[in-house]
Amino acid sequence: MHNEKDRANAGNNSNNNRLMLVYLVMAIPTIVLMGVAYVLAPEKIALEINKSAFTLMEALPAVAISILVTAVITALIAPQLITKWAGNNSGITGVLIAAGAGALIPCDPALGLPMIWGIARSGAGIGFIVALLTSSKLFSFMRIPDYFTFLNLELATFFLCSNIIMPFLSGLLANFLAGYFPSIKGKNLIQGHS
Amino acid sequence: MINPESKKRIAEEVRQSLTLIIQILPLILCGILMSAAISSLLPPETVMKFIGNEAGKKSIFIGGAAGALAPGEPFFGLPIAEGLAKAGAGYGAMVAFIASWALFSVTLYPTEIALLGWRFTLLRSLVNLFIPILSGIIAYIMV
Repeated sequence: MHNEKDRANAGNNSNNNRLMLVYLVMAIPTIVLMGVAYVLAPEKIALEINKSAFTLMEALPAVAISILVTAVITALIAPQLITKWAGNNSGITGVLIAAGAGALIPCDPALGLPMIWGIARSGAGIGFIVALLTSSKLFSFMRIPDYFTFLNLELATFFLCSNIIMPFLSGLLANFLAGYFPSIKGKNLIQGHS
Repeated sequence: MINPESKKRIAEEVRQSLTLIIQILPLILCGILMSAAISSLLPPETVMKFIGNEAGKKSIFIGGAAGALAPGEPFFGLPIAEGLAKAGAGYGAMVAFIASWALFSVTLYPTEIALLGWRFTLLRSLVNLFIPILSGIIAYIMV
């Protein structure tokens, strides 16, 4: 009993150390960039920080709600179902499904990543998660209108046609790597980070 | 009705999610501040200088590298790409730029690392590395 408690404490300490390292790695470039921007473009950075405050206010509730909703949904879906269609043994079919389904995931990291996190924790395979995330980043239903809004029709079409197969190829590559390095299975890889 | 087993799973998921929400707050703040700093330091005109027509075929690689440096918001990355295209940059370079911006924009990493972990993020980045160059080459050939 005592040993179990010790092990749990050691695990928590190790997770906390990893988290502190991530904070440190992200804080250093942020501080450096902010410092350089303050010296080189003090007026512009003040304006951008003002804008950022609004972005933060918009992002925080969206992140919290998205994480909670996804957690409840994934808890309700039978794990066997996810394992069958998205697990490490779902193979090419799983990657193909993910490459298409990624377009239904919001590309906004605050909304889309919690969904992918939930799917990964439910037992989806590494190829599935990589294809899903790559597809959401390139072809999310939220991003397609942006391409046609900001780019000319020809460039947007060229971009979409040139990339159509990429999420599928990435998923296959991830599955291939997982075949050689069994430690990179989706659920373990993602669950082990925090 | 939700059975007791599912209720227990939901409660556990919600508990873990609340912990996660608290853990990722500083990282979201970092991402937003980094984006603000890069937006101030990297005006679109400066980027244009590096992926203009004069860069030739190398522009696919330069476009791919430059895309990762543009902040992840569509109102910054995509107008740069359109501006570059109007200034005479090739579609190969622009397709590489947009793919790289969508997949590797530095400002999107903090949230991804926070939620999916640095090991997954590293793996995802590695298996996505070929995309900007390959799609840029495909676009270059298609034109």
